[in-house]
Amino acid sequence: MSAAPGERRAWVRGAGAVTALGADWPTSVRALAEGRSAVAPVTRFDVTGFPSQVAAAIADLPGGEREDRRLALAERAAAEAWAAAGAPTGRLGVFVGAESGRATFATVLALSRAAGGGKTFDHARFGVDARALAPSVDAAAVSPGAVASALAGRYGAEGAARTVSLACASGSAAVVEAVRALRQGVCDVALAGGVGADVDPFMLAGFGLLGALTARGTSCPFDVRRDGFVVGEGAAMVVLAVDRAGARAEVAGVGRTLDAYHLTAPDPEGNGAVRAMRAALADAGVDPGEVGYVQAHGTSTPLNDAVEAAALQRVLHGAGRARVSSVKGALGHWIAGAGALGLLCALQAVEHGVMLPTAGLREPDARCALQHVMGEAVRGLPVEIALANAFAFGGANSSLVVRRCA
Amino acid sequence: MRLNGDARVGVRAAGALSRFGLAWRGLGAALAAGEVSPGSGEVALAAADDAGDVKQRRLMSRAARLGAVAARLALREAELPVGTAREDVGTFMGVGASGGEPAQIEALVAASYQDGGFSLARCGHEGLAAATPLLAFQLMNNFTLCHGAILEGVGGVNAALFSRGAGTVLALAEAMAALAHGDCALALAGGADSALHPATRAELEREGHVAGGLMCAEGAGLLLLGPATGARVVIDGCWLWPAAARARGERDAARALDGLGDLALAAERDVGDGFDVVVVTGWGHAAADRLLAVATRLGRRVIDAGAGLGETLAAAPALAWLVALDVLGTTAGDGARALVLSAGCDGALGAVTLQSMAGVAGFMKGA
Repeated sequence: MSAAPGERRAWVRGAGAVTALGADWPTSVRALAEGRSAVAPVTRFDVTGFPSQVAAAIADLPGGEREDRRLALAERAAAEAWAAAGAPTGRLGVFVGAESGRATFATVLALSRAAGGGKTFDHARFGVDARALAPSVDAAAVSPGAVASALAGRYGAEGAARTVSLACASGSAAVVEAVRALRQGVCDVALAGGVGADVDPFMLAGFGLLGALTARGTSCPFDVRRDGFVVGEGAAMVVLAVDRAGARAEVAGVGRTLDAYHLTAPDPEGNGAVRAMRAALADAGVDPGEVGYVQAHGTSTPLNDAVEAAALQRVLHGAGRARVSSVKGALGHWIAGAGALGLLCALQAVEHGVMLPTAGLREPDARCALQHVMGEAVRGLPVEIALANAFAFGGANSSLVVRRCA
Repeated sequence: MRLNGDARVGVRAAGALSRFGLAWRGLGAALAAGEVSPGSGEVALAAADDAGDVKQRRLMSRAARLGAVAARLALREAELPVGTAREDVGTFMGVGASGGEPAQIEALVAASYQDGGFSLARCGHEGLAAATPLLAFQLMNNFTLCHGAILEGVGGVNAALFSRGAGTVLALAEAMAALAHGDCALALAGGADSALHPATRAELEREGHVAGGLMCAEGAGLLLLGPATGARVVIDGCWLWPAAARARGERDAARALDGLGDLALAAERDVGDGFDVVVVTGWGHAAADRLLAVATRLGRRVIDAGAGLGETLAAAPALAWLVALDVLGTTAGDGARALVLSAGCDGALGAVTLQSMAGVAGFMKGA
């Protein structure tokens, strides 16, 4: 479904992000370009006994004490992107990658007490006591759709307001939805991206149970020392529009597939990932050899990084000339927001010629033989085409191709 | 607004689970005859009908389990030719907020108490040890789609759209667009959800829906879509009118439904009239009544799917499509047209039009 001449295209008019390294995207980029990492011991709550005790958390987030931290993050990123885009006019759609929110720990504690204090789970008591708590709980805290609805209300979106819940591919898939909606004429302007706010006890517990988090306390995608991912938090948004105005880049291709392989493990052949990347490149009408930069999914888990590296080698014919990095070394894994952050990194390469490094990567694994960006950012090499990957638990894959436009 | 442009798709097969059982044929007639009684029990799943094996089911939320069964039913009904590449089959689903199995959550919380209080440190040791290591796979919403895709080997383009009604209509529109653009050869489209999870039920009570007559239920409905050519039933229209309340930042669900009547009037203007059957599904009596008022003007026969099947959240629009599909295939003649109106809890309104094609023999596989 590539855009033929004269067809509606998805121009990137603005971008915004709030990360653990900066309250806005330019500030974050400066820190990322220096190779800095936000991964640090968790101090927001007691992590004694948890399998992994580090995260890339955002300190001092204005409004972050609200019931739903996702909203505080997404609203800031959206405001930045909207301002950068010059507040475009036209029918607006909102497309957000988000998973369920979680009530604050205090609320959960109150609910658990309502269940009988933990010694037994008293259903009858829970039915009475927990529901009595209900009016004090903000519905937005648990609804995946709350972020898109709030942003749609804030910016007066009368068109589509979609929430994509594809785990780690959510943010990327939300951008796919936005691109499709723009091309199809469902809207003229799209506010799209993703948000992750998973530095909380339950996500550390859930992913810790899974054995997916680093026990060593480092995020180092593609490194021989990698042993799991680090949970991060943040929001990244872009404003896309069919009216180019001063845009210097477009989302030129999108691709989505399912591994259809296994619940917990990626397809060792990486077939689903390969198909997603090839679909995005085909959609953009781009030859794999034209790709100059890849923002990899690169989670820092042993198997996933190796599989993605092999898939990249297949798609790019031995990795071609493309430089590769993963922002998760610096900012951890934002889960539902990760794909949108990856898009911003890819845009940084094509719009500004800045290929951000993989923080934490010192000794690349031989199984991940790629042209890694290590240490500091690579500058001065014009990038015409960049690829951004997002691969999810459950086998959902989403790839985006961005193109620099003179 | 109309979401599908000029795109038309054919219905090749379907799968459903509801209070009517594990079938969609006969569903429309049963609802019309009042033979499906409203209630809030779980859909009975015999061992032979269930999804995956015991180990796999431990990783599934209830919605994922229902969705996986519906996917299998639809694909089985389609009798896809041997060698059909399932990586060319897309999947587009409206999904709810997956809840972990209460027993797992209970175990984790209970083991985390110390001296009358919840201890995070204890949660880190005893709490985590008490729950399945794969609890996360019950919690993430996309697994409502992914479990079925993995079990059935479906690997094409996909999207899991959060839905309290509207997202499922969007999923159908996405499937139609994907087929129109050649992104896949076939596409599963629909939804699966359960309003019976304690957390979801509490949410619905809090929002006032239960007091408004909403009957919590569960279900799944999936259409297997393909090219319109040669199909006995085609879907030729898909609309969604966003809730007017959303533009004002309104988050009160009860007030959001106030605007539904106006949207229904917009639908009346846009979708035409003279339908042989109009199927409605809404959130409780208040929403359903608004839709029924319009439906009686648009069609000769009206069926309230929600009245019999209860509120199945993300599955509700898809089950209503299957009701229409059944009526078109079993009791309506060639060229008959059906309209499905579905309301979301935020007041959004979806509409889907179906038509049985004259001169096409048989009614899909198994007819």
